[in-house]
Amino acid sequence: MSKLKSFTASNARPLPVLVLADTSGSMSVDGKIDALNTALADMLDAFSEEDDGKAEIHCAIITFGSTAQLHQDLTPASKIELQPLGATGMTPMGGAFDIARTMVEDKGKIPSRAYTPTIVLVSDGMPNDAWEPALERLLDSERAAKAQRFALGIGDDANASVLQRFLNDPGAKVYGAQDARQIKSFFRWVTMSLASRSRSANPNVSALGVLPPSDLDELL
Amino acid sequence: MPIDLFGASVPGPAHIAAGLANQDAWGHAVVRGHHVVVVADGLGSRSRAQDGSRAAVVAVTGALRAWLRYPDAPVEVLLALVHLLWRAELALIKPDDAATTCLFAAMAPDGAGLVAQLGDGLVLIGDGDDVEPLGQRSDESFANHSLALGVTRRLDAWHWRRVGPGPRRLLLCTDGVADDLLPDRYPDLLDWLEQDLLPLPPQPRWRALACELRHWPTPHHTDDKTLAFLRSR
Repeated sequence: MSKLKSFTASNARPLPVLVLADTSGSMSVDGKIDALNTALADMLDAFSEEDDGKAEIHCAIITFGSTAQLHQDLTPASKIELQPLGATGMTPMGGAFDIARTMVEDKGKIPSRAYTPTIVLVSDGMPNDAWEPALERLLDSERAAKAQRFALGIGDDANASVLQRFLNDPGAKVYGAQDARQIKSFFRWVTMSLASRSRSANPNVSALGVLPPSDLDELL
Repeated sequence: MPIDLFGASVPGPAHIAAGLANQDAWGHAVVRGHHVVVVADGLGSRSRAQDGSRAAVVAVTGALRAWLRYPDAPVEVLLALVHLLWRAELALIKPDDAATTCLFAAMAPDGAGLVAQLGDGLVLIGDGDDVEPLGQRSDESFANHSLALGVTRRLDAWHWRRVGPGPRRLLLCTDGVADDLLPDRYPDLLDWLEQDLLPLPPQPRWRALACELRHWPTPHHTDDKTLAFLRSR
């Protein structure tokens, strides 16, 4: 038996993934919430099968609908039993930003030995709470500011400028999905990108060679 | 005051599977009466990382050979020399292709000396029961964001400390080791290295340490692993 075992961490270095999911009432239209549930389940299944990576992918799901709340706490993907998301209420995106910032800043949840987190924002509308100061707090947070970020706008009512501000990088693209199929495409792309990161020599570096699916639109 | 030292470096599972060489390097030498240990970790994404880490060992030894001639010379002069000699050792290799972390210790027979670190990894300084790392990673940081030779030429990116004479234990290791160590077990790790491994003859000691590094217990580990230990008594 390894003598070093008593001096070393017993769990792999985590690669945290936080999904900020819009669960406002409008997501119940046109099968959007069902598509999102399927896409999230597929993503978690794929992460669960990633056992040859350098990192262990951990996921959290933060929803913003009737309230902003932690739907699924940060947990190894292989141990998550996803409870389907419902869709009701408004779009308190700012509350979700605050929950995400608090989680990323919590060194108990995301230790320094973790790889840089990824935050995925999915929304089909305009936030209706005090989202701007909450976004500023997120982007000003030293740890959260380092996070890799993806954004998906669903449908014609998605506010691309809000999503672009979340990305905080003029070179980063906000993607658009017009239907359920494109929602799944976006999450397949996120899944491939993160799986590739977890297998790379340095999981902090964005994966190369994982191109976004051609059937996604750019919102800007 | 005798100085004891030993170390080992093994390729990680990722490099073994890919048929690649160990991109860590370590070396030791006696330079102007000082026992010198260098540990370097060529950054994994660089094409000539292996050359970079080996060049760091040569550069530090050469820099100390020059710097130790002048007892009053500032440490910044030594660090600047390390950068210069590392570039020279690389010759035609682009520095960015060979970026490497660089950790070293130079200890005189009375235990006095210098420890320095650029980039990821860990240098532990054990004075009696007090064990503390040189240059903690920021709590605001995450794993594998390395400063390195070939990445920065800023001398203030280095952490360094002069240590006075006396009994002391030093550990230097690359991040393949450091990132999985439990900070509250640092003192016990030094005890194990000193009490269980150090008394062994050199070859069995090397084999025992290399075996431990090869059978690293943390799941999903892939990095190369290098660890060196010094003790003055």
